Amino acid sequence: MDGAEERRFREFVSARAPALMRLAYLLTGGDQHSAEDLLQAALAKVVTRWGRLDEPEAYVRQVMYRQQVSWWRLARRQREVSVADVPEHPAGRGDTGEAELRVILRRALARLTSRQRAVLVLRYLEDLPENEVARILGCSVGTVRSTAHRSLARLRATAPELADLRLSEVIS
Amino acid sequence: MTPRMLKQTLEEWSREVHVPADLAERALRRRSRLRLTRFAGAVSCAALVAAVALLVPLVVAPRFAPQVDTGGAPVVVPVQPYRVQPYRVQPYRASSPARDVLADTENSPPKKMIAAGRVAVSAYFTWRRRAVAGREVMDRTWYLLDPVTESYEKTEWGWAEVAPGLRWAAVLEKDLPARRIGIFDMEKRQVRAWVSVDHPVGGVSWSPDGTRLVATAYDDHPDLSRDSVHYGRRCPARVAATPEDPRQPRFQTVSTSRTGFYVVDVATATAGDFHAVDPCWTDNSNVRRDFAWSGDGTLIRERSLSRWHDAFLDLAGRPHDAPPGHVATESKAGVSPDGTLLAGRDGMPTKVTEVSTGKVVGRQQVLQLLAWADDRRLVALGCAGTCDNEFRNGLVLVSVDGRQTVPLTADRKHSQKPEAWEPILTLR
Repeated sequence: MDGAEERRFREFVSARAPALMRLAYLLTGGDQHSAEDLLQAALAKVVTRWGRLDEPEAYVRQVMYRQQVSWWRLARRQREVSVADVPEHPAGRGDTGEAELRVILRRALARLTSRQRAVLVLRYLEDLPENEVARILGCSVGTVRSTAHRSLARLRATAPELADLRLSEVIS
Repeated sequence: MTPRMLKQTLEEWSREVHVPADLAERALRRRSRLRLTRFAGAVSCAALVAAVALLVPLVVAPRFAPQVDTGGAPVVVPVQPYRVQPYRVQPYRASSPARDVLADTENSPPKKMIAAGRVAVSAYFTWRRRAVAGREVMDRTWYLLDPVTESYEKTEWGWAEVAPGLRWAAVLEKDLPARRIGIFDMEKRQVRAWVSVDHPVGGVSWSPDGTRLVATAYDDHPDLSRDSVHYGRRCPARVAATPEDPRQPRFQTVSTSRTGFYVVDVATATAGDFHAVDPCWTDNSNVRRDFAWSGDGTLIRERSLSRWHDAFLDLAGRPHDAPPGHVATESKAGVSPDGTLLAGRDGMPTKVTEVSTGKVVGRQQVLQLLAWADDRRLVALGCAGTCDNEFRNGLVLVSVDGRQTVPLTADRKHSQKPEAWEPILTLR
């Protein structure tokens, strides 16, 4: 990488870091330090391929998705992931406003596995079709579907307020 | 609860993040560290001894987050010796019939894991020819098995070799030969350690117990076409002229840039001394001439083409007799796990003979016998339909008596044309 390429790389990071950090933050379940580590690792890979990548941002995103899923595989064998706050469960959905529901939903999302969260982010934040999600994660469309289904089931199990959450509602 | 709420929640949550100002700087610093790691391979032997303790944290990746620039204690790669034990011969049929044969007859190349008995397709590559600076190179694209998802994943490696047990792979970066060897964790999908070498290497092979590698060093790209090699060297012909063939050349030209080998200890991620090997040592005219291990893991092996048998070196690079009990083989499958049967040479029909008597015990309507699935079945290359085109072929499981054939993969349209996929079989 020569001086001009290095400058372009810095410009790329400067321009896209906010969006990429937001993604990393979601993938790591809202952990600032892990998000920095994840993005930094992905950017380090980009550096070694800079100049050969047609779409560096797409590459960074794919690396982060796959890296986070593989780190999670490792972590789950070593230890349980702890979550600071156990969600409180109000009596019923009818007493819960939408803002509060989003807070509950956020806590429930934090308790998903990396793979489950990655599928939801790709599918419902980035609005990607199932086959594209499968390509990015390197798995089958069937795996994407089953993971999405399990993710939503787990959200419901974690927070009864989300009991109305149904796959048919989310997959449009 | 709606998709809109899910999206809003994710967006709100993501906006809490703080964006560090020095992300680009950190990534560039990491690149500098990699350069330092490569440079370490060039220091003198005396300095190397002193430097090892300092460089280990750079050469050996941290255990859980090897791509992250957070330092961390040096670790040992936790390889476990792979032992070929009697129970491994038929573990799947006996204990888990559903796992005995894993096939993907829908996709070519395969997407789902292929396995039969004790062996699995651990990787495959596709190839094409590419012009580089006026020379023609065979370029491989490697696909590695992900044992967790039981699927194959495209990689950016220039070379890959999976260890027995499917837990580890040795990988080389593109633009062979490479100055470092990666020890790739097949389950975690990341390189757990890098092994730097002074002499660049173009191929690696695991010892039968999966704890060591022999890495073959080359001065130039090992996959150059022979026509692109301009440094051919004349070696004395090993085979003397005979009355039947008085035209036997007195010299043979070798086209390889191979220089020698390293033996790598994987657990400590260290390469031993470099051992130079004269390319005239065997009469093999290939450009790529990778070393491999003897079946018992005590010697280094190379196939000698004209005599069609193996030649051996000790681990210091000195010529050595064949190990005790060595049986010369004419097929990739070789001797059965129990040592009693021998797979015959390529060409339909193939045959299997008794080692002790030479008696033919079975013939198979397949093209090549590639590996023993157990003592009575082999993974083979079978051709499609009535076999009117031998290049239209795929993997099959065939019994020694040839009566049972089970397809494992879809057929390749033409196995000798660019973009065809080549399976690599490994003990699982």
